[in-house]
Amino acid sequence: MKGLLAMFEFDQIPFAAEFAENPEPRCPCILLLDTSYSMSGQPIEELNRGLSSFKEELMTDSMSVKRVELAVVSFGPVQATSDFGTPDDFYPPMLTASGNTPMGAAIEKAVAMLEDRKNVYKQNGISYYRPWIFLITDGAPTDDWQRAASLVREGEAAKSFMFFAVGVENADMNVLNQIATRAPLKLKGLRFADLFSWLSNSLNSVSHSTPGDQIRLENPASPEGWALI
Amino acid sequence: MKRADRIVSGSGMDVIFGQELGRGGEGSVFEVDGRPEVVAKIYHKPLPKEKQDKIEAMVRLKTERLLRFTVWPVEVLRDSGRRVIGFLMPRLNGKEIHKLYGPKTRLTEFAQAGYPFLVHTAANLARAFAAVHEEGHVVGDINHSNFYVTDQATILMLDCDSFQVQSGSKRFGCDVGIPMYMPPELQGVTSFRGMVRTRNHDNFGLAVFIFMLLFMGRHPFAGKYSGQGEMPIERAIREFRFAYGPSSSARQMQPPPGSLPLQLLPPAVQALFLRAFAQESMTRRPDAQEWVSALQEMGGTLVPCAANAWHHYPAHAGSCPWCAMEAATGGLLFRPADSAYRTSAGAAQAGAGSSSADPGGGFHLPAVWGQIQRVPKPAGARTLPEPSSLQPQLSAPVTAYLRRKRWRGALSLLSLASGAGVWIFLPGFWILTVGVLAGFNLLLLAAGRGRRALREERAETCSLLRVRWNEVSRRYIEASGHGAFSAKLQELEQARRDYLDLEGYKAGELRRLEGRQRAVQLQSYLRRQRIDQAQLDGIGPGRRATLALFGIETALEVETHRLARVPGFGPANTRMLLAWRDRIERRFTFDPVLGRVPAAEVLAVERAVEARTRELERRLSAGAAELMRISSGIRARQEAALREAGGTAQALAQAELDLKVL
Repeated sequence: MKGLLAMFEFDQIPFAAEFAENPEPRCPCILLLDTSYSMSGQPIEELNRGLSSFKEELMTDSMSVKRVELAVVSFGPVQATSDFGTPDDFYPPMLTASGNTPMGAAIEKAVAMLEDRKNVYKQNGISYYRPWIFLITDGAPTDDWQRAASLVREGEAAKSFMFFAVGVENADMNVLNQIATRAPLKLKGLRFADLFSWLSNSLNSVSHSTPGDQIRLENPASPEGWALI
Repeated sequence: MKRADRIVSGSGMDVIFGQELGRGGEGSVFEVDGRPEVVAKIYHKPLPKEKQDKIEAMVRLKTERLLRFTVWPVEVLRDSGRRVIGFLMPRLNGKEIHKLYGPKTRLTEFAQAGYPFLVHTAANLARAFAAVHEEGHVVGDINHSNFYVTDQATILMLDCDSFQVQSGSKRFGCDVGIPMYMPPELQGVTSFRGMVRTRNHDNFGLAVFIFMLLFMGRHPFAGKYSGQGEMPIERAIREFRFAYGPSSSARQMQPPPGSLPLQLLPPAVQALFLRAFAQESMTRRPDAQEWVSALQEMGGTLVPCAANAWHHYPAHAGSCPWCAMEAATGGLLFRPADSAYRTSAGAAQAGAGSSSADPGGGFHLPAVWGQIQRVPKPAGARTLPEPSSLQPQLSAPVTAYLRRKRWRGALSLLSLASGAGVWIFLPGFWILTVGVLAGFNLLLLAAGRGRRALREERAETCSLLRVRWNEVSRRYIEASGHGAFSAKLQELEQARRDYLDLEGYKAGELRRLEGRQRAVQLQSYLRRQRIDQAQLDGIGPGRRATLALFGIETALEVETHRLARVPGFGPANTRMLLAWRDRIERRFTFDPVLGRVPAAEVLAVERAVEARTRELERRLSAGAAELMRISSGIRARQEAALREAGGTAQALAQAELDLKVL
């Protein structure tokens, strides 16, 4: 029987290490974070603090830590601050505020990153949940956002992702309403900690479900929630 | 739960709760005062009559065998109104099964678990199913959180109150289930309420979990789908697209890259998986007992890997699949070979001779390095033949020209002589004289033109050849250079140094992690030092309030650039605050217990060290061959350049000689 193994090819496979060590289905989640100048001071600090507690909360759930994958795209200027990784591999970035609000380009980048990631999953035979895009902004786009808006509409219609928009302080809720098909939420004050706590709970319930299941999310706009509709 | 109520156990004892151990959607689990061997599950909401009856029935139906494999209800708990509000069950131990089958968590949570442990656990899982089935019940809600594994590879099933329980002719149903682990016939079912669950349904889920245990956490229906659109696991289950079977490609499925091929398992186990997942056999999937005997037998066929003491594999496979899979994916499936083992094995081999690999495919640096050193250095550049030192012959056109030139010389002399003869002897025929002389001149002219053309042509050839000569001799010197060879050798020398210093590398990485722990601890220490409570002469409450307004409330925020933004805060005050921070920072002592680097991060370092080790081994093992390739490449290019140089030199010397005679 010697040499049975030789019948099989084990060529070097890109990206395979993470999936060999952890073949659980993945729930990718992109945080699209506004780091334009208007976020300076307390908002960006609260956001940074929220991000580190987000990681901690996801780490406490033994399923989320294997199934949730986080990526961060910050905009002003648009850059992928962290690429997809499970919470244990996620090191919350220290965001600093500067520049304008190229929200349209940021959304397009996020959609493209999701497509790439899904292809990596498919190539590696990894099942996945419907991805999340979570946009947090305190302003209005300074670039052309029409294409981004149609990408969001198409993606939502095809169920290729869920797009959530959260407005902070003086965010242009009107534009957010035109981009997102789900009603955008308005953050109460600077309750980023509560927002991320809600997000990690929601991702926890997703990661305990089966890919494709409908998940009932806790209403963030309840009186004790962190958001207003 | 209403704590005010008196809660009475089935044996009539008052039950006092201790700490809450866990909280789920349905109920909470508490410690019980004075009874460390049991815990209490209390439901959040009042139970319907049916569920109360189910719990009472379960307590009646408890058997020793069930209690070996499950946390079966042992006593009913009632409130003062005699309503069932929960039950006592044995205390759980172990960890969720997904922490064992997923390699990443296995390395931290079950660090000692090798493949025999996984096979053993799989057999025990089948034993647990057999126990439940043989008592007439069905597990129903099969999922990754409901099976606990102890460090002895034994299984305990949780959430028994969701089982389908048979009590005489009365059947209590199971209303839940996770689609990922459900058989095809239950895919798409929206409610399990009132549905009869069968052992054959369970046997599908059992096979899925055994598969995940034996296949490094891979789900049998998660594969590479080559068709259009998405292929979620439930759809794959519904459509019988088992990714590893012989007919999988007909179903457009392929096993994920870097996964264990089904054929490497003993044939009996392969056959059971095929039967469990195929459409033809869906009514007679292997039952728990069949799995028990097949897995038990499989446990006996496992052999150790020569390269890594943590690797065991079915003898049937022929060689270690884990080594191959780890090398292909770069992931770690089991613990890496202990470095002590590697070093001593390497040292033992060093004297043994030239073989670079032992029978198990291990790596031995001294042997590999010996091979690298034995690769001969390519020969240096010889001196090329100088064109001027050659003894060339004239080229054919020039020789021909010279021959023609001699004839022409003779002819022109002849025509000159005959011209003179005509003029002397036949003065009346001066026209003839002119003609003969003109012919002579024409011949001279033609000869001059032929020579010029030839000279021009040769001069051009000569300069072209001179350019080519320079170019080819440069190429020859380049080809003979050891640049590539020495660069590769240097790279290998570096790899060897790195390989010998893997321990140092690891220590450095760990030091870095410790440094980070220290920094984190220092940060939180500084954050605890509040400005409003500090002794700071000259900085009154007003100033402190201003600082707070700018987010400077603790020593952590005392930084020059932050203070610079506070209006009215001068250099003297800034200096004082910074000095205060310095004093505090000097008082800080690191608590090594609190600041221990988390096990997962240490493991990440080990993984990185292992990856680095493999990469260095790969590079070093390939080193000799690559040096050889570079060396023979140099030789080939050198010879080609030499051949070309020889020809060019000859041609150039000839062209120069031609020019000289023309």
